[in-house]
Amino acid sequence: MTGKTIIEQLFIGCRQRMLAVARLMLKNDDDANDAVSDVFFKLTEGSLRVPADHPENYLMATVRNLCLDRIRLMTLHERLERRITLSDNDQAYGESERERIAEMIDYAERTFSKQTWRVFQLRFDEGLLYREIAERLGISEVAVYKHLAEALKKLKEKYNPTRR
Amino acid sequence: MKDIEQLLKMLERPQDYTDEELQKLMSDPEMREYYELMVSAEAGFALRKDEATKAEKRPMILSLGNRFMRIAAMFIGVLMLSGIAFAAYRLVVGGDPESPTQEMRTANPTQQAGTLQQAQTDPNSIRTFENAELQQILQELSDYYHVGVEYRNEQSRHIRLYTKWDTTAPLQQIIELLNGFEKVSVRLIDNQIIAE
Repeated sequence: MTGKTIIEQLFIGCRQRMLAVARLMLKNDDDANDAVSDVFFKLTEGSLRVPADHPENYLMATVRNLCLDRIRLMTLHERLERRITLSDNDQAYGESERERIAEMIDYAERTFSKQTWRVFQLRFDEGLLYREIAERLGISEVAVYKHLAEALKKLKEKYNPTRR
Repeated sequence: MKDIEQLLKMLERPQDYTDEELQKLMSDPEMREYYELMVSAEAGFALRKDEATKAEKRPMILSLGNRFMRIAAMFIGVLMLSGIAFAAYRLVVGGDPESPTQEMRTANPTQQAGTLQQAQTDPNSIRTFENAELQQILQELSDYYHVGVEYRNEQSRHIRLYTKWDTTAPLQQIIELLNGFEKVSVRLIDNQIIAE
């Protein structure tokens, strides 16, 4: 197989997964597309070389590192506005980390009260403002804060993201 | 509790805070921890959506970044049959409309010839699996494309699927479509299908 063919196959096979991780890390579709594109651009240019063993793992690690480099260049304001991790852990959003995060949401759904889960979901899944959540559920904004604080405390008891 | 409320308020409108205020709040290890939990919560819901999208077998839609035009353009024709999607795609690199057929083959040239140039799939080339175990499907793929199969998770052998296999499609494409099932994780490495 030619080098170009290998890159084509990797493009078909890995791009979606790479893009998903880049979106998770950068919280922006354009930046995620750029990060993944950069990896394939470097491959076609020859400045990156795919190892024969586990090329997918190599590409996933490369795009993750590239995202981390971009994140490190962001100001605290930028990170907080996009709600990007403040951790510089190189393992951030690796496979085991993604499994842990998915498990955390399952745990929340299983253990939160119905109303707390709904508030939590409206905030972190649908991205509603606190005022919008309050209006949607017919509760006060203070109650929204209380539900979210309760949810976060419960998660903190079970998980400890800063010690990963 | 008050501190968490303050953090929640800050995260809704960080632009209303000065760098110093943000630094001060985020320098508290406990607040950082809560912040990371919120980041993880958003990521967790996003992961769920990704999984749900995969499971729905929606046709692949590629949004191409600017640089992708310099690398590849992929045209995907998707045929939906009984809720099962299978795609035939054509890959053009660098804007050069050369036929990718020769290069895209994975194992058996004669069985895949012409696949990538077809806009539609020949119904006679479709093999239907109804409630078939993954090991049966992979065995047939293995025989057909002359590749090996390795199970890194023995339980994956017994996952049951309803799916259709376009026998004119390249193996890599079939692997991609199988990965669309929520519980299936297969990869093609060095002429070996790895089921995890």
